[in-house]
Amino acid sequence: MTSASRPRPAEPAVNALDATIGALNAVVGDYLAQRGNALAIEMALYHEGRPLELDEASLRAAQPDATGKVCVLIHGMGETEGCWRFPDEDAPSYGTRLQRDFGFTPLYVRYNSGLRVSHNGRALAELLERLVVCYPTPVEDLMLIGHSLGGLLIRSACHYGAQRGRRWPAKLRRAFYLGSPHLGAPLEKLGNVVSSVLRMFNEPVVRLVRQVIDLRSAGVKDLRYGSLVDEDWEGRDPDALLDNRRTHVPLHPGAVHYVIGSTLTDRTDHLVGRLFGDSVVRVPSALGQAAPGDGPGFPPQNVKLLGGIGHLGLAHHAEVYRQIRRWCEQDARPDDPDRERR
Amino acid sequence: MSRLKGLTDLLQDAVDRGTVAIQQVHSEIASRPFDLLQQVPPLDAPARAVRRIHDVVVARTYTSIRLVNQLVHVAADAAIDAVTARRREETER
Repeated sequence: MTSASRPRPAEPAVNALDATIGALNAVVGDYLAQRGNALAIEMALYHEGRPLELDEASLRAAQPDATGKVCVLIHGMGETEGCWRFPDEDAPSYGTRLQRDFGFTPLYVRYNSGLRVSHNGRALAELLERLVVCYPTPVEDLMLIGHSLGGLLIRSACHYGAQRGRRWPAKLRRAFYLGSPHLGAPLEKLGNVVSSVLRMFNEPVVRLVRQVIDLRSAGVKDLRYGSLVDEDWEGRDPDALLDNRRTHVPLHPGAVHYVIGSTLTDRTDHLVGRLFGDSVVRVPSALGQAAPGDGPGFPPQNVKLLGGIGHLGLAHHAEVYRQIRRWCEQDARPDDPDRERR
Repeated sequence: MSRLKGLTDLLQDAVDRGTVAIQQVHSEIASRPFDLLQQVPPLDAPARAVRRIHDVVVARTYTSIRLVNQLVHVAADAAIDAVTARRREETER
C-alpha cells in the first residue's frame, strides 16, 4: 500500500477529563497509587483514548499496518499522550509524520507522572518487553521519543531493561529527548528551598503552608536533580535541602541518543533564554551539559538547541520534527561521515 | 464510575486531612492567650475553665465536620453503586 492510499492513522485522542486526571496524577499521583484510588493512572499504551491490551490481536487491531519499525512516544510531567497533538488540529503529530516519512508505527504511552522516575522507568522497561514479545511482526527498529520527564523515563527504562536482561534494549536504535531535565529543573529546586526555609519557622500557619508545599509528588521531587534510579532516593529525606545524590547512569550504548532543547527567546544566546531556558528546563539541563562523569554525555553532533519554543511546545512543533527527520535521514544514509561517530 | 468513586475518595481524604491540619493550627494559636492568662494568678482558674470549654467545642466542631464528610462519602458511594447496578441491569436486559 502506498503512503498516499494508506488511511490516515489515528492521532492521540485525549478528552478534557483524561487531561485533568493526567495533571492530577502529577501532583498527587504517588498518593493516589498508594491508596489504590481509581484516579491513579496505570502505565499502558493508549490508542484512541483507551488503554491498549498488550496481546497480538489487540495490537494488530489497533495497528493493522504494523511494521517492524516501532516508535514509542512518552509524554512529560502532568501530561497525557494528547501533548503530541499540534495546536492546528489538521497538522499530524510526530508519530504520524514518522509513519509517513519513515514507515514507523507510532505507539503512545500514558502513565502516572507522580510516581518515582525509577518506578516508572522499571514499568516502562517491562511494558516495552511485553510489546516486543506481543507485537504482530518482529520488531527490528525501536525508537523512543520522550518529552520532558518522558526522556528521563527512557534513560531509567534503558538502565533497568539492560540490568534485567530484557530483549528490547538490543532493538533500540534511537532515543530522542525533548526538553528533558537531565540535570534537574529549577522550579522543583525552588520548591525545595522554600520548603526548607519555611521549616526554620515553628509557626503553626507557616508549618501548614510547608505541609501543603511538601505534598507535591515523588515524581516532581525527582525532577530536582533528574533522578533516574532507586539509589538516588532510597533511605534519604526527600525534602533535604538541595541534597544532590544523583547516580551517574550512562546512556544505553547500543542506541544513538539525540537531544533537543529550546529557549523561549528566538535567539538562543539571549540572556533571558540562557537564564530561563524553555521556561521549565534550563539549557544546560536540557542538553545534559554537566561535568564529565556526571551528565549523560550526549555526542555534540546529536545535540540541538532551538529558539522561540516553550517547554510544552517541544512536543508539537514543526521545527522540532524537522530536526528529528534530519537526524533520521542521516542515520538512514550509509555514506554519512558522521554516522560512525554517532 | 470507578473514577467518580476515586474522586469522592480523594475529596473525603482532602477534607479529612485538611480539617486535622487546620484543627492543629487552630489549637496551637488558641493556646497562646490561654497560656498567658494562666500565668496571671487571679485569672488562672477562670482561664483554665474557659480553655476547657473552648477545647471541647473546637474538638467537637472539627469531629462533626469529619463525621459529616464521612456520611456524605458513604452516601455518594451508595448512590454511585446504585447507578452502576441500574446501568448494568439495563445493559443486560
